[in-house]
Amino acid sequence: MAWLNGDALVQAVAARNNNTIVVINSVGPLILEPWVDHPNVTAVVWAGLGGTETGNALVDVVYGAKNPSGRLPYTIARSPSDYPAQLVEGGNAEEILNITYSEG
Amino acid sequence: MSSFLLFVSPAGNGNLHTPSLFVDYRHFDAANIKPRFEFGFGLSYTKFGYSSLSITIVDGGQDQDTQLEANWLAGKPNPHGVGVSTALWLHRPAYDISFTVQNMGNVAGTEVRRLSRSSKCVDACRQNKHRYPSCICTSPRRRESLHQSCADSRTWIYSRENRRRSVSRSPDMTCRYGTSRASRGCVPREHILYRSVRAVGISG
Repeated sequence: MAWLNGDALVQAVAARNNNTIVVINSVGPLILEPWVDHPNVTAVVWAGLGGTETGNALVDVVYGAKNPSGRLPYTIARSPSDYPAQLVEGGNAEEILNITYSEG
Repeated sequence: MSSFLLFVSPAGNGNLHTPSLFVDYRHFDAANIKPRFEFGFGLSYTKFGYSSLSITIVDGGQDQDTQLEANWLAGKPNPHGVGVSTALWLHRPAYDISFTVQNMGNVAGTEVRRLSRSSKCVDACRQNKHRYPSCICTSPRRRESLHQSCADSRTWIYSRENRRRSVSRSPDMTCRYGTSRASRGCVPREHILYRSVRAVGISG
C-alpha cells in the first residue's frame, strides 16, 4: 500500500480532475486497487526513482514527446496476499530474524 | 533453486529453503491468480506490424552425416552408442526463420517480439515447442528483418523418450510470431499481433 496516504491523495485529485495521470516513484510493486479503476484516472506512469532530469523526462513522456516503452520488472497484484512472500519485520541487536523462504 | 549450502543460524534451524521456482509471475501462474498488471506489462505510443514469416532449411552441403540424416528423416534406425546425442545428424537440418517487424507509428519504440516454433512428431504425442523472445528498438516507420536459426527438435525427443530407434519427424512445422504475451498485458487487447503461419511439406 502507498505510504503517507498516497491513495487518498490520488482519490482527492481524481475527484476533481477528469484527466488524472498518476506518476509513481517506487522501488517495488504497490497495490493500486483503491483508485486504478477510477474513471478519472487516465494513465499510470511507473517512473521508478529518477535522477536530476526526472522532471524533464516525465514531461516528455506525459506530453507524448518520448515513448516510454518500459516493461514491468515485477507483477502488480490485486491484493498483497496474492504475492508468494510477505514483508517480514522485527528483529533487533540481540534477535536475528529467521526468514523462511517458503515461496522457494 | 536447489541449494545444499547450509547457513546454520544461532537457533540451529538448518536449511530454511524449500526448493521451488515459484517466484513472482511463476507463483501467479501456478496458483492461477489474476494480477492487475503482470510481469512484463507495458504500454507504448506506437504499434508494430509483423509480416513475411518464412522458414527455410539451411543447406549444409554433403558430408559424412548426410546419409544418416536421410535415414533419420525416413524413420530408419541409426547407429546407437555413447555420445550419440551429440551427433550432427541428430541435430540437423538447421532452419532459418525470418520475419519482418515494422514500427507502424510516428515515434520510436521498443518491442518485445516473440517467435515460437513447434514441430509435431509422428511417434511423440506431445508437441515440442521452442520460444525465442527478444527485444528490438526501432525509430519511426523503420522496418527490420529478423532472423532466428534453430536446430531440429529431434534431440528433445531422443533424450526424453530415450528411444534407440529413430522417430520420424513430421514434415509440418508451425511457427507463431508476434508481440510477447506479457507485453500485450493481462487484459485482452484488440490489436493482438499474433498470426500463425504453417509451413507444410518442409521436409528436406
